Amino acid sequence: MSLTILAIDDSRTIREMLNAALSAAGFSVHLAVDGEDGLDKLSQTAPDVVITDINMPRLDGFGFIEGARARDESRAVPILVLTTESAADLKARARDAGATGWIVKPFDEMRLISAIHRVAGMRAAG
Amino acid sequence: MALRDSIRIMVVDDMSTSRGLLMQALDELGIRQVDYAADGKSALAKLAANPVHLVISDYNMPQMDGLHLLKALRENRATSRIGFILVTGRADREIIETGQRLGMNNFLRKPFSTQQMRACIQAVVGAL
Amino acid sequence: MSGAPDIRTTFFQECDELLEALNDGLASVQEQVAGGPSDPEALHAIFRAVHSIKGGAGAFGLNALVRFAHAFETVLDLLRSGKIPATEDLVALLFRAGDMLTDHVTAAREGRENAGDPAVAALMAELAAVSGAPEAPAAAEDEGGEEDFGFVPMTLPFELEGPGAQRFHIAFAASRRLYANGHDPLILFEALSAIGTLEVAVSAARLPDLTTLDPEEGYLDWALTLETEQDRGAIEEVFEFVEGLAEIEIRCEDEDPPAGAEGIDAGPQIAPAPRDPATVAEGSADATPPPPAPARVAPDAPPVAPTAASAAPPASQSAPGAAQGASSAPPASATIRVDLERVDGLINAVGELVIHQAMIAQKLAEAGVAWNSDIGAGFDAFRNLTSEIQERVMAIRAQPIKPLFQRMARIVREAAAVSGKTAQLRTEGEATEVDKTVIERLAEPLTHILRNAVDHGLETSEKRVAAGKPASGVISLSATYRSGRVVIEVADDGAGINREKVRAIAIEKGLIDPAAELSEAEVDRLLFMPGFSTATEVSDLSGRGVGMDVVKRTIQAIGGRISINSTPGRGTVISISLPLTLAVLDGILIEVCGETMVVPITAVVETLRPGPKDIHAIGPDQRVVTVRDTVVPVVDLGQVFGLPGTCSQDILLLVETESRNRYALAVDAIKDQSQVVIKGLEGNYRHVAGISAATILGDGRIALIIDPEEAVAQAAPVSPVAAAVAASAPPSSQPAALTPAR
Repeated sequence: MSLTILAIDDSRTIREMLNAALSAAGFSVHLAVDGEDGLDKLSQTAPDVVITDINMPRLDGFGFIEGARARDESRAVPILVLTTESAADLKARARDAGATGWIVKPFDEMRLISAIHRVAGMRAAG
Repeated sequence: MALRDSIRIMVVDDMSTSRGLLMQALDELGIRQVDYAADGKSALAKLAANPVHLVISDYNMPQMDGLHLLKALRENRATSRIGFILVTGRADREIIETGQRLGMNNFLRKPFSTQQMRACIQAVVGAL
Repeated sequence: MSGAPDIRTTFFQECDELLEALNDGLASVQEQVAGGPSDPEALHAIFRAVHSIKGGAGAFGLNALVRFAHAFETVLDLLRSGKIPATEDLVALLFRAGDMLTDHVTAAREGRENAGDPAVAALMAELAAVSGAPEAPAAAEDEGGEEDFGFVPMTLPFELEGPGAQRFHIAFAASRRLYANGHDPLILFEALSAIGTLEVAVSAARLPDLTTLDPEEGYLDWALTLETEQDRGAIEEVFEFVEGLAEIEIRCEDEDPPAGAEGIDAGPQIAPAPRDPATVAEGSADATPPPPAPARVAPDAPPVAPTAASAAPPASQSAPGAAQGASSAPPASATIRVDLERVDGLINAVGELVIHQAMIAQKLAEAGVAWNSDIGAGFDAFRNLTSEIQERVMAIRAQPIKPLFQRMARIVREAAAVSGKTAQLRTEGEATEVDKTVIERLAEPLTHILRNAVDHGLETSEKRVAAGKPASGVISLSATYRSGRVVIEVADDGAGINREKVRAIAIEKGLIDPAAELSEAEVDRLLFMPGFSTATEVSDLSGRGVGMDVVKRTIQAIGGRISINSTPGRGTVISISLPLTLAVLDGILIEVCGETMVVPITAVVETLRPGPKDIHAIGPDQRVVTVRDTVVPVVDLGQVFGLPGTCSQDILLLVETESRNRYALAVDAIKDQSQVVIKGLEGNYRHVAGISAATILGDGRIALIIDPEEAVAQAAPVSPVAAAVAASAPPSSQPAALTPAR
């Protein structure tokens, strides 16, 4: 069965890229525009993996992860953060907030899918 | 299967021209598994991760010259058995004798022909 | 061996780099000789550069080059070993040798050999005299060819091993945070089993009794045995995300356990086992020699397991990035070389893309598409991407100006030698990046300016000493970014422009009226007029039939401007201001008397909508506007460009010129802010004062790009004589009252 992915990014371009790549790989995709929207959609969609940007208006990625980890239903959901550069301190901050892994932008489809596999296992193969 | 198919060689030279010439000669000899490094330090780092059978290193390099690289290789257990050929442009007795003392397997003088390189390598590892 | 053509290309590119290093090193040695701080590495760097050039040249059979480099190298070797002292004379000789070596390389690149040149022989004799060696170049090299110093090759003391799967022992202890961050150890193990055969043993030794058990704590330890043909890097990659969240130790069975690590892997299931001989297949294609000693999971990260980390051997400690690069392919080089034609093709295509984007924007606006609609937002994203692509493409062409500056050092040396003056060049801002074409086209005018500076600017040593200056003249060459342009300055500490003489010559040549009242700046600008030459006799140096007017035209042709500023007794500064790129420009689209024009955004400070009481007439056609307590002249663009029709001029565009003066351009409307593709005007038309270029708008119409500096000069009240001079020069002769303070 296909996994459900929730992708959160305030950039329309990135959202569309994620949607296209993930849909093509056979995942069922939901999109959110910022951290607040992501927390709303989290309850509605019960995703298997969440991919979130860090810099976003209203509620940023760190805030989203903390919010998600505070909820029972999403306490153990793998959350991947999108970071623009491989900045070590950003990864460390994300991990301190509770992120499972990271995807360094610009990403290609292979890296995206492989990161999902690494946190969700091979059953994630679409 | 011929030795040239299985042998792994690393070329170390800070100058991309001479590195290119060395690698081209190895290619002409049919040796396919050739890695390279632009200085002694990165050669050591690479060798720690991916050892080779034979290092062919230039002598004249900044920071760590060929002989210092040889010394470092011989002092580290993981790399001490790697073959070492020094490439040098200067016919300097002192360099060659130091190399010999440190356990250099052979040396190659620049400029060299592909045949000279073949002879030099074969003297160390046997028929290619 | 003769080397393939591409290696030959590489060789010459490398020679350029080495010659640059050589010149840097010589400059440093020169400073040391002059009493600067000691830097022993400089001499070594020079030696290595010459030696490497010689080595490469030898491989290509470039014998003349090898011979010369050898003579050069011999002197350098003696110098660095302290056998001969570094003196000013010797450094000067080394500089000349460096220049000669450059010539040799250039000759070799062009397929010539510099062999027969008597200058070469003379210089080689000089070098040989210094080194005290008989002039038998490269003799040692040639004769020593067969010398083996009694060296007997040593056969490798081991058999070449075939490849084989290796067995890794991995100790994995999960922390509480591993689970808290959404990780599942089973998924990691699944990933490991994808790269080899995995055995998993779990230990619950740390598991407390149920009363004290914290359900969210990680109590389990795993001992994994992985047999794989992949290397350590592949294993470390699997653990990338959990680094720091678990204690991980990876050890290859072929190695001894690191000292101090026994505490971790004392368990029987991960004790080193004898290597299974059956796994060693002989003579297979991808031989994998013994792997290295244990390394940490990621070399650049904090230690995962402190005991293991502290015990890691130095080789792996000093190997940042080794783990990532350990897979198989040789590491990619940090640079690639691309044919310039391809880059230019790309730049042209991007230019077209920008034009088409503007056209689409126009069509969308005409179709009444709302900007907050899906199409509008999508187009917005497209526009952002386009400008990003454009920026990145332009950056490909940008190059540091350093090589050009280094060439200029030679020009100054040669000019000083010919004119019998002592001069040194100081450079600054060598890292400043400028479009490659700009750099190329700058070489000739800059050469001329520098020759001029030595020839006409600097005084002779005697005169300098008499004037209380150091005997050696200094010429400074600098590059900086200013107002979105690159400004290159050539400053000499010479006598300054002799304005009386300039004026007299201009009158004699009929360039100005003898009665004309010229400001100092106007006199200085006479130097740029066609047909002007101050040299009473054509000197071998700056003469060459080219005047400063040609320099000025060349600079203008690449969108640049040149100005001159001189202080008697103190010297002269020539400033060249250049666009960063020749292809695009951020501009504000304005409307003047029904014409759409473009003002470069870099010049615009702000836009104003003044009330009637803000504008004051100070003469029949001169008005000023008060902007926050400063008075700024108003420039009527319609009048400047002689446009017919009426202009409402409700809006003022406050601009700042490179000479740091502010003006208010009166326009009818501000239409848009947009990136425009520069299309040269002079190719199709002539140079129009006040206009730098043209562009194509979204609707396909042509719009002229205003050069604010020139445009305000057109409007500035200057004397009729000076008008010719000032036509395209900075209007530094503005009435003081109108020149606002910054």
